[in-house]
Amino acid sequence: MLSSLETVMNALLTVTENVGHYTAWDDSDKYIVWAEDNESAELLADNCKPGNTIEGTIDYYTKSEDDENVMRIPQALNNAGVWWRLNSVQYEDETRFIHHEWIFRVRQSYGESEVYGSG
Amino acid sequence: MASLKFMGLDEYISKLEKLTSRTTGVCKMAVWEGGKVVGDAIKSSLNDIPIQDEYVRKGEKRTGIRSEEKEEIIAAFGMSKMRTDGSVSTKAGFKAGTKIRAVESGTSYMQKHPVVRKAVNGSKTRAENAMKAKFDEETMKTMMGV
Repeated sequence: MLSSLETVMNALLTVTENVGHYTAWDDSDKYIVWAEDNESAELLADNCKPGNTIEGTIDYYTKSEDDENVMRIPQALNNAGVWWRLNSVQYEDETRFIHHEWIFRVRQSYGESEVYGSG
Repeated sequence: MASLKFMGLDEYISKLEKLTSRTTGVCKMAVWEGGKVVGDAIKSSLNDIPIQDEYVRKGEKRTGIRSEEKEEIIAAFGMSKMRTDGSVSTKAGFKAGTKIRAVESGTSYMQKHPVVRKAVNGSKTRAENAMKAKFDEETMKTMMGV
């Protein structure tokens, strides 16, 4: 896993243990699924690419209208210094899940570079 | 006593004034060029939405949408008219009533496919370059008196 993504995973684990990367761990209720899915920006310098910004989504499914995790997730991302935006909130008639989706972005560097530092 | 003369300043000022009067028009042209790049990227990405026409058992997650739902999404995509209320802008979007939100964000029973977001991210730099090129082209035309 890219080092920047470990920051995201560790932040989510402070909210709940029911966190799945790519697929749900326990999809009965109150579960997080998260995944990176593309590059939102690139850093180019000296004919190479020392870093980029990785973008992905965090999905939280709950059947409770006043679930406090809906606040704890963005707070955890703030504490970890992860940029986020609330992308959508959907209610599923069939399953009664309230689905919150946040987009996150983290900076990732590759190798050592005077421009971007290491790690 | 030495003297300095700047020749052609009136003509230069006149061209700058002409450029100022053309600002909104040039911005519209630039936004159109950028919008075309992003719009084409989104339109192309919609073809990548996977199809799953077969019946899915309860408890199993869908990996795609039905063929007719995909056709509806493709037909519903479009670009809005240019707006010039303080800034020049256009929007890419979908008519209501399609499954595009479920495709983009996924659901508890369907895998997400954020094709629109990825297309926008992937075309951002090309759109900016296209807008800049149009700005430069129109600015040059004005300054050359074309």
